[in-house]
Amino acid sequence: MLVAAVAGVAGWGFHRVFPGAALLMAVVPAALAPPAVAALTGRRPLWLALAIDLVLWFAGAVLLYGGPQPALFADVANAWHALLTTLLPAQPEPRLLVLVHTLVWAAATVGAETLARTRTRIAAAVPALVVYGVALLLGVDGAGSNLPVAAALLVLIAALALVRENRPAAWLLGGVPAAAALAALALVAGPLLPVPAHPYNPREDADLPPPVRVDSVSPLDRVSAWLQIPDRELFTVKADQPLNWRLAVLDRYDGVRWTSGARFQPTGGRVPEGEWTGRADVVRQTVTFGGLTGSWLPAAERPEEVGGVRGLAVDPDSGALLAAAAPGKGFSYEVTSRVARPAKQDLLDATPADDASLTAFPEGPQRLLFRGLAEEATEGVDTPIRQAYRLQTYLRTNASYDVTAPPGHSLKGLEFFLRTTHRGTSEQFAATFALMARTLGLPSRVVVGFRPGEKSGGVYHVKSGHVVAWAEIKFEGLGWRPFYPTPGRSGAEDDHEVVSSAIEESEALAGELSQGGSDRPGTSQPQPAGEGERPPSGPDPWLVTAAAGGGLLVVYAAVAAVLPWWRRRSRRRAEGPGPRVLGAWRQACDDLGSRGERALTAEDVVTRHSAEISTHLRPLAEISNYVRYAPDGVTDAAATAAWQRSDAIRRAVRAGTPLTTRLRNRLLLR
Amino acid sequence: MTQYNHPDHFEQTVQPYQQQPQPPQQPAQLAGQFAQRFQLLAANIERIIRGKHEVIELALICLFSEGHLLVEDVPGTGKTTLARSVAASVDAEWRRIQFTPDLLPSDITGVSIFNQAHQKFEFHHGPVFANIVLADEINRASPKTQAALLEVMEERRVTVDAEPHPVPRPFLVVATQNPVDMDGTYPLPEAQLDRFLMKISVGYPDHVSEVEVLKGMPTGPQVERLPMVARASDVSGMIDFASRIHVADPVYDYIVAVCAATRTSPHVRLGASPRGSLALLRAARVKAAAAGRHFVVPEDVKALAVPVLAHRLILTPEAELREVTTAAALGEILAGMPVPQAA
Repeated sequence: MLVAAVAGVAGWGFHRVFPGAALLMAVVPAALAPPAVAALTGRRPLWLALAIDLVLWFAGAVLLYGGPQPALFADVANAWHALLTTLLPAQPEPRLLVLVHTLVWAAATVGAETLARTRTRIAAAVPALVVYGVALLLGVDGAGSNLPVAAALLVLIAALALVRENRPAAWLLGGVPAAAALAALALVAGPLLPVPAHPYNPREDADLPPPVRVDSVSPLDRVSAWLQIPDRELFTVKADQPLNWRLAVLDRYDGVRWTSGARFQPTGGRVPEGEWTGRADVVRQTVTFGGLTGSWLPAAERPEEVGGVRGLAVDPDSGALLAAAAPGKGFSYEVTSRVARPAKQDLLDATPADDASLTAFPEGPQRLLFRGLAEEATEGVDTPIRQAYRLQTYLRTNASYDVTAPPGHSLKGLEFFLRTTHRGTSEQFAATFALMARTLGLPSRVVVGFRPGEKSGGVYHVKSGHVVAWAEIKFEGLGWRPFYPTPGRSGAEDDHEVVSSAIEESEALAGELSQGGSDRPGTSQPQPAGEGERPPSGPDPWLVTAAAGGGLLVVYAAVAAVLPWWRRRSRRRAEGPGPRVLGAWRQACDDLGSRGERALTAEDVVTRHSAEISTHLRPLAEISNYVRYAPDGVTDAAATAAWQRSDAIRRAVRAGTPLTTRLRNRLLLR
Repeated sequence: MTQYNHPDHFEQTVQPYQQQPQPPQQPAQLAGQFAQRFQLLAANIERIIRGKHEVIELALICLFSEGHLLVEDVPGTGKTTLARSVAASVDAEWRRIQFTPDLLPSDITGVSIFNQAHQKFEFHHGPVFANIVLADEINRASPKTQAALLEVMEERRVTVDAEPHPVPRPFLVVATQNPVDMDGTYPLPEAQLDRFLMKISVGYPDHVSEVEVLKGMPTGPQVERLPMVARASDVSGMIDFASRIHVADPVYDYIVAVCAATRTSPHVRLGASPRGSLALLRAARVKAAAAGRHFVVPEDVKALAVPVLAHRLILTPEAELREVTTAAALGEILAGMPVPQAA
């Protein structure tokens, strides 16, 4: 029962990977079945118990899948990598849960058979501890804490060590509360331990899936088409404030197309937080699909929790969302987003991020044109944020918005836009801004999304005419900041509040910079961390792991060395000659390896051993029987004689046992 | 066992450890004397029954426990000789009754005959009125005749015409039966089996012992010439002493636990009765005394569990089909039964 509980609790350590009741389906049968098999098979051969366990493991897996699964073994083998490339929490899919099922089953099997067939107790809990370690590693960036699980494990292992048939109940009554107190102390002191702020995360070393081309048609290519038929309702959003709804993030440009280099990872709903961890508005949205096609899922910047999407994948860098299958009309999901609200000082101090891939410009003669225009627009300004604002203003004032302008965002098309037409849609403005920014060394990308839409009854109805593309520049500590270089339809004013407020904010900030008298040069020095951001601190995780492992080994070795000595000492110093005689007998039984064989009489023990040992063992057995069953007591001389016999037996056993065997017995606490 | 059983050894090893001054030295000394006489008797019988020390010891335990012995074995293995040797060694009167289908109960117990001279009925004692009675091939008599032994075995008296006639002390019935030739036999009922303290098998002697038997013929030791080493009164005294041997509470628990386990064993349909527990206790006391101890240890109980309890158990049909024996079922119980620890 205790082994099942230890394995089950260790399996519950995966709750950071798979929150919810689905985990129980994987853990409970796998934890209960092997101990039951061990209890039923008892002294029968080990292979029989293992065969039954294997059948039960298979039955549990079939139960998990809801039927036979031909790819069961492949799933077990692949679940590791799948979990390492999944953002937590993971979807509770059978192909992933089968790994937990297998690990818990293995821990319960090894633990139960170890307990049933050997005299060691703590060793039976080692497999469960290994499973708990795996759960810790795989769930390192999951939500919740594993401290309660660790405390429960501690208490259960203490109970496992203390519960013995021949041990008085006081051991259990005293030991388990002591372990519980220790666990409570660990719960309190655990968070204070000097572990790294960012513990080792195996996902950082995992091979992520390669970038995939999500749609055959880039959303940026669709901007003009959508603008041609502006009244088609694409989706609705129920939210408490109007925001631009981001659809796709495109960060690679090859001279013809902007594409996405996102490495999407499966997730159960959680989206890793972005670079900005400071002040932000939390906005909850319920998005319902209308005529929108493709697998991209619109959401406000930046999603942190998504619900209601099966097969959800997310790009941890951009926060872009993707559904495994293209959603149909009426498909609905909930998103909680954080909209960054950095302070002015954060913007003023912003420095561009250092990422060569985000400043790459395709080879071609247009580079000089873009660079020339960018330098002209930002003449006399070398502060990155102001350069960006100047670019934004330059485009908004030197070109006009025209939905009839020729579509496309190839270099030649943009050159035509800059030199000749000076008319375009947000497709051209955003793409041009991003490329001009790159010529100045500002890492940029293009985002395709939608304006908030028309509000009706608390719901924003987003139509195809609300499509908008904008550019973003990445700053250290701030993350990606949006810029809206597209002018309003009239050429002077924008017609929606998000862009307007962003423009107003940028103009106010640009004015503030000018009034300051000087354009502070950009600096590449690290800036103070934003609110809520914790600088990496603490010792190296490998060092902590090695130190913890080494410490455990030292403690175990100390216990293995001290425990037999302490036990012998307490027996030798027991109160009264009778208990001392019995202590001598028990010590001899321990030395002879007969501990725990409770059906043996003293005579049985004597007849088991050689004449050399029996010479001392038989008189010791007689004295011990006398103390136990005779009506009279014994003297101190009897106790002394008993210990002389016991010591002689110990010497004989040591002389006849190889050093390696003695060492092994000592380490196994035999 | 030899070293352990030797009374001198016991006195040398245990007595110095007793607290001083301790009056209970007397039981220890008496136990030593008991063991001395017990071994003397056993050695005397062993002059006739070669290589069967354990069987002889069990037979003597029966004698000093005031129990009865059922010996089941093939002809010619020394069943009758064993009974005669025991009788000859203790200077006791012994009778042999050959059980046949036409044997009547009165042929065993005796009969009242009208005496013309005294004008009254006089009881003529049957062969059961002896210290040691050999009931040879007991299963060949009718159940009615077998039942005639019931009263005398349990109550040690024969009641004829409402008048009780006690049998002499010591009183030991040694019954034999042949397990091979079962035609025309009447298996002993459970009630009768339960009245036997032990059921043992003599078995064939080993090679060396059988060679010694051959060498001794016809001039070797014979039952008729076996010296008497104990008087009947001595035996009565030893019986009384054995009944006072100390039993610690954990040993009582152990006996009850073993008997209770026979009632719950999956192999056993009918387990040992409380009479079985009592029999095991009596026998264990004698075994302890025979080892020179004045207290019983679990080894005594464990060693006697099979001869005392096995014949009282009835196996389930499934166990019989699997050829599980009562001894094996008991062995399994003993192997899993924790031995009592310190009191």
